[in-house]
Amino acid sequence: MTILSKYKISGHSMEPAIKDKDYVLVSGLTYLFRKPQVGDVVLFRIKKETYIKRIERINGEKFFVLGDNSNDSLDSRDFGWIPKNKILGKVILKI
Amino acid sequence: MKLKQLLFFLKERVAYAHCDIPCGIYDPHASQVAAHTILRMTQLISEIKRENETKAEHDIARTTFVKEEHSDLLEEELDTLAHDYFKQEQYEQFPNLKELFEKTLKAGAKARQNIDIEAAKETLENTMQIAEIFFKSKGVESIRVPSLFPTGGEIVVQK
Repeated sequence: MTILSKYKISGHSMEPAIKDKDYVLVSGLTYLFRKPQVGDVVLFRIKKETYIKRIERINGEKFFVLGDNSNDSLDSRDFGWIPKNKILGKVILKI
Repeated sequence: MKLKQLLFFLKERVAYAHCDIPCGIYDPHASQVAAHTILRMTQLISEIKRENETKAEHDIARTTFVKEEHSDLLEEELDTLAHDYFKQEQYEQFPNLKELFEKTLKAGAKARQNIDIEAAKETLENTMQIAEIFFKSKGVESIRVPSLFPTGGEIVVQK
């Protein structure tokens, strides 16, 4: 993960906060200084793809993530809890 | 210069905020074929004669490449079954399933890293057990039939 990355969003699972084709800025540094928190929107790698979701629950070093638009979302309800080392960074800005 | 203009120069990547297409089409056949192929490639590597070094190196390179390819394929197929097909209720119904996936991946990694017939056989056996659980979870009977592959052994199919 780089210090700052720009991602284009593909899909609708984070609507209304982040829409399809929106751009977001992701910080790879934030979680070096503090732990991920409930409500953070994070990017993570699973099955060789990068996904964006919001942290809904925390259990130690594992995170349960959900899409805001939960009717149309592949998330922890499907693939389970995400370990911290899969998290690439925190979304800090919608461009 | 505005922030947007500055950020324009950052490399663009894609993050997915969508679901997999919920096709519901899952099958444990491909994982078993991949496991048989890993075993076959391991057998072939073990049988390579060193009489002609250049040919031997060439054959080892090709066979190892196929072994790697099918190790990737097996991991991908198992990943799909473990995360897309099997849900929490099935992990509760088959309490050894999670451990079985882990054991299969470990044996698969050993078979990938070494020329290890036993690890390749263990990978195949575990993959077949996952296939049997897959069919049980669908409420249908399965049966082990001769694979008809040069590896010998069996393959699990719907009865």
